[in-house]
Amino acid sequence: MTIGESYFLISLLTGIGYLQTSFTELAFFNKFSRAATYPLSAETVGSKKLSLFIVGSNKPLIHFFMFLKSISGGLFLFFLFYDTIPFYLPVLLILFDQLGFFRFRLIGRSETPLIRVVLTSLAIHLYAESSFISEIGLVFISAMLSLAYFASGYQKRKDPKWRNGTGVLNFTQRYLSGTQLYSFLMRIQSPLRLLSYLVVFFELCFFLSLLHPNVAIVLFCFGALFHFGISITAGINEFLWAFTGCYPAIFYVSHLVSEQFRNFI
Amino acid sequence: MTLAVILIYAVWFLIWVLYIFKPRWLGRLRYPLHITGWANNWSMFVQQKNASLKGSYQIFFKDVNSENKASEWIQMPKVAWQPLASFMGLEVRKETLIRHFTKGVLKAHHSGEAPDIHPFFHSLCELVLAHGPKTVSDFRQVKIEYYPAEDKEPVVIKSKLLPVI
Repeated sequence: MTIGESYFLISLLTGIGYLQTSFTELAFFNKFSRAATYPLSAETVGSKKLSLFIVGSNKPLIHFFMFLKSISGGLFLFFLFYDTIPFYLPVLLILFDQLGFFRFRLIGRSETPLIRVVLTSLAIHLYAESSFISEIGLVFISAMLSLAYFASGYQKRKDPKWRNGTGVLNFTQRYLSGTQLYSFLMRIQSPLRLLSYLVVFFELCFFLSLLHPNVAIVLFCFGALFHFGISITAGINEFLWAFTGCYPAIFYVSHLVSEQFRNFI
Repeated sequence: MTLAVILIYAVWFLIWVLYIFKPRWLGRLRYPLHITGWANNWSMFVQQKNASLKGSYQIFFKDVNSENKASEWIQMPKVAWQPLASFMGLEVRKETLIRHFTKGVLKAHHSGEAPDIHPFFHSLCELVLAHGPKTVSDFRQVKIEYYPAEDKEPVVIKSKLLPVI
């Protein structure tokens, strides 16, 4: 996989995620308009210094930014297919999201830091037009993704629920209770316990995917299944695009590392 | 240019490492980094030690008609699985918003403020009124019951009777 192909795939998956999140936010703040668009203030946000961003998170600007986000997300994908993304477009995607972020974060946007890593690296790749800088960008994305997974596993390892193997059980209880799938899963609790340990193990070991493309493919399969499962069962779909969107960077870097290692020995 | 890019990436990586493993070292930067969406400790689906909501909570409502006849307290249904949630998970986001409001109200309660006049409680009530189960009654009352993790008494916060729109 070349540097260009890696960035294409990263942009494609991240772009789809960005557009999906933008449409979801539009639909959400439209449906729950009265309750979800109460006026934010420096007190409710907890910081007076960030009041500039509060303006963008309140009516009427918030609707404007949601609209801009959807349009710019669509344009991003459009330009991607014509291979003509201007370097400032990823920066604009970050900016539009940032200006209304105090509102958007109310409905869960944990993946945002990773999206910003990807968009910044992409903007630098498009601006610099240097293969070395583009390669460093891919290494950066890989390092940040590995760190995010490791941190997630590290935090779960500290939680008694995940340590005693009931993490996935709690998750299913929270999001699936009352469904037939839940009744079925409650009958087979042992595999769910095993899955809890497996999730933590996967997250802690994900950085090993940087060592060899074959290891990377195995971990990608598990990772994609894991995120798809969360997306299907809980409706938390933003992680699927944000995390799998970084996989092409890992795949590229794993090739680099294994080549270097081969040359070394 | 190359050096500047490497420096930016290295500093960014270091900030993430500190944010995750040694957040105190970031001092005043820690909170703005989090609420503006530039850093995360990736503790999804984990009960954190310093979480403001250590116990569990439930939202109830009861409907009251114009003759003052009231129903029993009914638990607000939790997030319901939907087949198309993977494309647009509105229900799970509603649940996140309810959690956000509840956290704010309980924080106000713990700091001695009157929780029932908190703007988050007002928004939570609006959410239950407009998007809870439908009713033919004229009024609805909303209640938060919070059960702390320790063996403490549950916290109960009730709204006034609110007219159904």
